Amino acid sequence: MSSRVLQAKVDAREAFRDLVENTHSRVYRVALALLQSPHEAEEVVQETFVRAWEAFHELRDPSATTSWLLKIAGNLARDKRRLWRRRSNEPFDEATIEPLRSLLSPEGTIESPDEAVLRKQRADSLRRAVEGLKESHRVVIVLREIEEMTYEEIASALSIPVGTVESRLHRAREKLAKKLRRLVEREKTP
Amino acid sequence: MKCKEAKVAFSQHLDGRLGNIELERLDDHVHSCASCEEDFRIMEVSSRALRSLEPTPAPPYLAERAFRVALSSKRAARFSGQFVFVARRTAIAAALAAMGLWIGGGLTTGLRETEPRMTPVEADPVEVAIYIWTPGGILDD
Repeated sequence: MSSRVLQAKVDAREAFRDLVENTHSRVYRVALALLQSPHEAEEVVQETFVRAWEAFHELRDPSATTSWLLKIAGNLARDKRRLWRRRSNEPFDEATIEPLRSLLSPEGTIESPDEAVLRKQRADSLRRAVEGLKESHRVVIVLREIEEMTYEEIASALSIPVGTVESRLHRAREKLAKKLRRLVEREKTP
Repeated sequence: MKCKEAKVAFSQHLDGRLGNIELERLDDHVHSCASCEEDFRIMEVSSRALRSLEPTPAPPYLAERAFRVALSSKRAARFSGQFVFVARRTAIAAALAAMGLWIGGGLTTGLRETEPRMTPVEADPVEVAIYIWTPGGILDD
């Protein structure tokens, strides 16, 4: 193998390493939002990058790489979910929205015991409300609000048009507001 | 603006996708509709609460593992061969292109030249030897 070819191969590996380091967190969070299982999300990340390396030499537009990766991850996660549904005996991992749990113990704040109890109750309410949304709504809320993804990135990850992202988000927020309203009213009732 | 329209607009507003005129219309509606005002307050507060959270961190080992798994997978190995093939093909194409340019450049230069060039004459080695060793030849100096 000539030295030029060898050098090109080394360069490609380095470029691929940079890509993995810069994008793996985002790919992981998309998979986690869809699957709600850290273990399964890790598997999706690995498979996503195996596929990415296979097609790496065909990449022409580096600016579209993230969207492309999110699309692969989204498709893999949905395939996994379909497989779970077929094996109906295997339950989902405990449904958790991990980031919401951090509301329970905010860092760097000193609260009175009463404030802490109130905050915990509200955080629990918020968590229950998000978990209670139907899946398509929950996923867009988590990707947009917690993961701070753009509409375009969400559209790529879920393989849906940007307009659908917008309408799902609107409906999801509406449902979430209704749920929270009911919870707040219940709290107010003595 | 009606309640239904206002709710769509409010979601767009939360994502910064609402223009100034629409924002004014939304504002007018919210101030005149108690039900929407409360809904929007709840939506805004919950949105802010969710956004204040740190995104879920990926496990610290994940990047390195994903990189290694990708490079060592059987399918990736196949790709590696494919890559060498593509790189080799590119190198050959580049060499051919360079050669073409060199030849083309030479031809162009030849056409541009006005002065007659010395045409190489094939020398007879025996004649050359005689010329060199003949008295008065170049070796006699």
